[in-house]
Formats: sequence, C-alpha cells, structure tokens
Amino acid sequence: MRTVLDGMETAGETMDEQAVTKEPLQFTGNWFIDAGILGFVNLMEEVYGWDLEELQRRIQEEAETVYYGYFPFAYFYKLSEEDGISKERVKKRLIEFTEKNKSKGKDIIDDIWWQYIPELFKGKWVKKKIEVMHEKICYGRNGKPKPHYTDENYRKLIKKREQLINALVKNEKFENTIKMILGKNKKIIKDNGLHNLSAEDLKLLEEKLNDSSKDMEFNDAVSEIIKTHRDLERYLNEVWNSVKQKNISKENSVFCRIPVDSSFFKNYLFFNNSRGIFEQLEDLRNLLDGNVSYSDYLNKIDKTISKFLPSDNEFPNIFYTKFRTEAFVKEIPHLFIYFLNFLNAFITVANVSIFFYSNDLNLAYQVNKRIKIYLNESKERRNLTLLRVTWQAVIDTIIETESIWSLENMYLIRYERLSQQDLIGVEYIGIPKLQASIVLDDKMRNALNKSIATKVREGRIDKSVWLLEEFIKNRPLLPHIINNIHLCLADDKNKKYFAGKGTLIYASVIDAKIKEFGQDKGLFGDNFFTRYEEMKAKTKEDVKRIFITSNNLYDLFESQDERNNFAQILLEKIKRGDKYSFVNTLLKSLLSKKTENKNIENLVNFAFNKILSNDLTWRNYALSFVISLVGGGDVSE
Amino acid sequence: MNKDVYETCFVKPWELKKLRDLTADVFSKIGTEKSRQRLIYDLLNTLRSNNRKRFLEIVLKSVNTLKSEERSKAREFAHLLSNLWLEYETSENFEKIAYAVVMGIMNAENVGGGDKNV
Repeated sequence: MRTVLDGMETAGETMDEQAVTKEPLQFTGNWFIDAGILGFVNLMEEVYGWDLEELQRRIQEEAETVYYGYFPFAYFYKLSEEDGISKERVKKRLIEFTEKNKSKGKDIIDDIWWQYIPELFKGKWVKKKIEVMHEKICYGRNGKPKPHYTDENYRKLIKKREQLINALVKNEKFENTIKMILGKNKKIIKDNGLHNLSAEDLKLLEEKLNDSSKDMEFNDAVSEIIKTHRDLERYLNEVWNSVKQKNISKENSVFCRIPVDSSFFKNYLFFNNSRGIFEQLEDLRNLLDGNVSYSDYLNKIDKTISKFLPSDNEFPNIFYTKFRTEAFVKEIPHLFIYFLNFLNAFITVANVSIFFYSNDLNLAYQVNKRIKIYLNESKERRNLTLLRVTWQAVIDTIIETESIWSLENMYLIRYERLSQQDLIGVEYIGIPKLQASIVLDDKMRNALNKSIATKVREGRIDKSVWLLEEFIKNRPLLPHIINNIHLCLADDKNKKYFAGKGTLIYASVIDAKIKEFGQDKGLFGDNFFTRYEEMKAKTKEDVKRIFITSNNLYDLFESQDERNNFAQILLEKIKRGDKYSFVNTLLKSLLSKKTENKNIENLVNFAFNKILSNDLTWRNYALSFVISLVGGGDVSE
Repeated sequence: MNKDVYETCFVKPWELKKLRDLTADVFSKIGTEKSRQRLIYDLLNTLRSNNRKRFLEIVLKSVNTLKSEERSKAREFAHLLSNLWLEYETSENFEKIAYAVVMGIMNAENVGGGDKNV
C-alpha cells in the first residue's frame, strides 16, 4: 500500500538532485538557527575579510564555491593552532586555487580537503604523534596495533627511541647527570620499569648536551636518542606531506586523521576521535549536503546538534511530534553549516560570551560588529562594562539605521562558559516595547545615558550605576536617584557627584511613568496602539511642569545652605515613605515664605495633583522638589 | 495594587479635586489672608498630631462664620466633606481629605485666578 510518505523525497535525495541554493542569507526567525547564520557570516569575515554584502554577492554568484570551498577551509582554519604566518600562507594559496577552479562546483571540497586543510594541522599532528613515548601505547589488548598507530615504520621508530631512552635511564652512571638536567625530583623510571621521559625532556637533554656533561658516553647515548627522535619527526613530516597527494592507504585512515577534537561538538562525526581522514571527509561532505539520512544525529533537532536546545526526550511537545531536521533542511539547505557555526556568533569578553539577536540579519550583523569595535575601544577605558558597551552599540545602530521596529524584537543572549556537553549560565535578555519606545527618544535617552555615583568611599566613587542599563533591564531607578542625592547632601559641597538636574528629573519621571503604565490594564482599549506615544508625551509634559515649579521652589530660599537643609528634611520623609508628613512640611514652609502668590499656588497645585492625589508614584514627584533644591534653578530641561 | 481595590477603598482623585475647589471657593469669603494663614498653621499642627475631631471642629467653626446669603456654598461643602468622611473612614483617607481641604484654603484668595492643573 502506498502511503503519503512514499511520495515524499527524503531531504538527502533532494539535496543530491538540487543545486546549492543561491538565495541570499536571511534569518529564519528561529534564533538558535540564526545565531549560526550570523556565526557563519562572522567566520567568513574573520578569515577572508568579506563583509556581509560581499558574502551575499558571492553566494549569489558562486554558492557552491562558498559552501564547499571557502567555508570548509575557513572552518578548519579557525580550529587550527598553527602559527599565523604559515596559516596565512596556506590561505593565500587556497584563495588563488579556489578562484581559478570555481567550475569544479561541489567537487572542490575534495581538493580543499586533501591539499589545504592538512597543512593547517601539520604541526599539531606531528606533535601528537611524536609525543607517544612508549610502543606499548600503540597496541590494543588483543595485541594488534590501535587504529591511531597503524603505520609500521612509525611504530618501529617509536620502539627504537624507547629502547635507547630505556638504556640511558637505566644506566646508573648517568642518573645524576639526567637529574641535574631534568630536575632532582624528576622520576626517570616508572614503577613498571619503563622510562618516564617526555618529548619535552628530550628537548632539555638536547639543549644541555654539550655544556652540562663532559662524559662522552652520556653525550653519545643522548645524541643517538636525539637522532632517532629527529628521524621520527622527519618521517612523520613525510607521511603528512603524502596526505596531500592522497597517497595513503585506507588502513592508515585513522592514523592520518585531521586532529580536530571537540567534546562540545562531538556529535558532528568528523570531530569524533575514531573517524579517519577518509571518514572525516565523508562526514563533512554529508554535513554540507544536508543529508539527514546520513546519520541519526543529523536526523533530529535537539541538544545533540544545538546546545541551546533540550534533548529529544526533554522537549515538552514530544508526545505530539518528533522535532525532525528533515522539514527544516528543505527550507534551509545549509542548516548544519549554521549549527556548526553558532559559537562564532558570540563575542567573548572576560569569560562572558554575548550575542545580540534581532530577526533582521543585517541589523544583527551591524550591531554585533559595533559591539566588537566598542569593546576594543573600551579596553582603554576600563570603566565600561560589557553590557553597557553592548547596549550602547545596539542603541547607536538602531538610531543610525532607523530600525525602530526591531527594538521590540531583539534579545541579548549570553552564556558564561561551555562545559563538556552544556552551555553554562545562559541568559536571554529582551527589551520591553515600552522601554524601547523611550530609548528611541533623543531627549530621554540622552538624559538617562549617564553613570551616576551611588556610593562614595574615602572621597572616591565606589559604586556607580548606568541609568540606561537599569532602565532597559526594567529595574527601578528611584533608589539610585535617592542614593545620588543623598551623596550630594551628605558630602559634596562642590556637587561633583551630582548627576545633573535634567538627568535626575527625567529619570524620576520616567520611572514614575513606567510604574503608572504597569497599572494601566486597558488592553485592547481605544488607545492601545497609541499609548506608548502618549506616555512619552505625558513624560515630557510632566518634566516641563516640574522645571517651572521647581524654579518657583528654588526661589523661595535665600541661600544654598537653607535649600540643602530643607532638601535633607524632605529626602528623609521620602525615604521613610511618609507622604503626609512630606506634604505637611512642604505646606508649612510655603506659608512662611513671602513670595508671589502665583508661585505658591503653582507649588500647592503640583503637590496636590502629583503627590497628595497620587498613591503610586508620589515619591518620584516629591523627589523632583528635592532635586530642584539641590540642583539649582533656571536650568532648562 | 489592584485597580478595583483602589476604586473601592480610596478617595477618588476627582472627588478630592472637587473638595479642594469647593474649599477654595468657600474660604475665599472667610476672613483675611492673615487669618487664613493662622488657620492653616492650626490645621497643619492638628494634622501632625492626627487629631481628627479638632480638625473638623476648626474647619466647621470657620465655615459657620459665613453670612446667611453665602450659606448655600457652605452647605454644599459640609455635605461633601461629611459624605467623604463617612464613605472613606480610614486614617489614610482622613489625611488625604484633610490635606485637600488645607490646600483648598491655601488657594482661597486666588480662586478663579491661577491654573489649578499645574
């Protein structure tokens, strides 16, 4: 019986038949995929210097060369630990080759794999092999050579070197000399009777060969070991060079595997230690092809291919449907390339990795690039924190590109570190729509974009708070404003800690408006879509009125000392939350002052509307009186 | 705080505003500026000691000095005040109502003059 499924092609078959997509890169809306897309863009920029525009152009013109030529090399280039100069040399040749061989299409992966990628790992491969000091390691329990040591000549050289070293360390005459060179505490013979020297020790012995000992016999013995060691090194270099010609047998596939290992990405088979160089190529090719039927781990989207996801069994909808990659790959053919790259989307500073996500690739790219630039600059200015730099980059880019809508659809994703299998300390931070709309207002943003001192110790600022960050994180600003004013009143005759009248009044009113907004339950009311704009307008209106009335209050007092004393009394009442006592003190003070009645009336009416009748945010408005007394009059908003 | 709770337990802002404006209206016809200032001092001191009876006594005594042709406003004021007093009888509401009265008296001589929404 024919089922619906019979008529469907598997994604693997689809990929074999269809050409590589030339669609420009774009975000999918799934951030864990999109992180990989951005990581892919970052990788290509880091290795080849292409910006997003250049990469998009190349994908449109030569997608196969990008995905099967440039990308694999770039990926392994980044994993390689070779020195910069030799890596650059290989890259230069790779670019020349790829540019001349674009017609090879997908098959270019073969040339890249055999001719260029091994060169990136020559040093590491030789080092790992040369560090094997005992022949015994090369054999399994069944007495046969382990897959990583199948080369007979290699084993012979290991054996020869080991015998020579054993003879050296077991000769009692040389014991003191060896210990003098390698250190008194160095145990040169293991309990099982074998030598305990490492490749590093051999290097030390070689260095001291002529100056530490005049014993010719010792010198000869060490020279012989060093010679064999060099022979081994030369042989390994020859073997690795023959890899370039693909001149290796299938049996030596694991012996010659590209030494990449990642416990974090272990489920991508080419990282698996048991895969030989032929199998690694096959794994990579299938990954690039998006062949979901190649292996079980490619078949499902879960923790095995993206560490941000739960495991297959932990998905809450597991009872309804399995989360399979097949459907995704049809839409996003290079899905696995993106999954491989998701860590490249993150920018790491001081053990914290951060990635800015918006559902627009271009914007996310621009912002993340700017974060990197700002972070580099901030290394010179140590007081800038990572989050401050990040938000600054986000806001600057959005204002520059006028992508206002995107503020409402963005996240910062950060993690603290990677463990064997997990991301530790993952945190997702979004910007609420309300905060977003305020951040985009020049005046309000500029007012909040300040660090204010909140604690002073021995005449120096001990703690400061960036108001904009607190605001974006939806934290109350009032305690910080109170702390700042308290500092100014307590120990700051020159007002050096005072954050500024404009900043503090704006911060106080915005804080009040956010609280009031939270009380508004008019969901789907007439003003639902305009209420954000209304709130901004009301904030500005309140600030304007505060500036007028605050000047009235300032003028009531004749000296700054008098103002500061009164401000201190009012601040105490605000801190205690005693509204009626605050009103009582204020009214009594107004009565005792002779001034134009109009001014008194303005102040009384403001106190009535914003303090007496306002149970929710009266402290914010009451504080504006204190700010005015401390900050001075006649400062325009 | 839940909005419904707010509506049932606390004096509504528009009621307070009405009380303040009516107070200003009534007291603009009582005494001189100086005597009103003394009155406000007395009231503020009474409020500080949370003496409700004394507060009401001072306010009503002052209103009682109005001439008979101006009694209709005074009656309206007394009616609103007693209604609010009875309806919102908590200590929190007492202070709110009382300070609205004080602020009304402070605005008394300028009734119809300044912008009360500032």
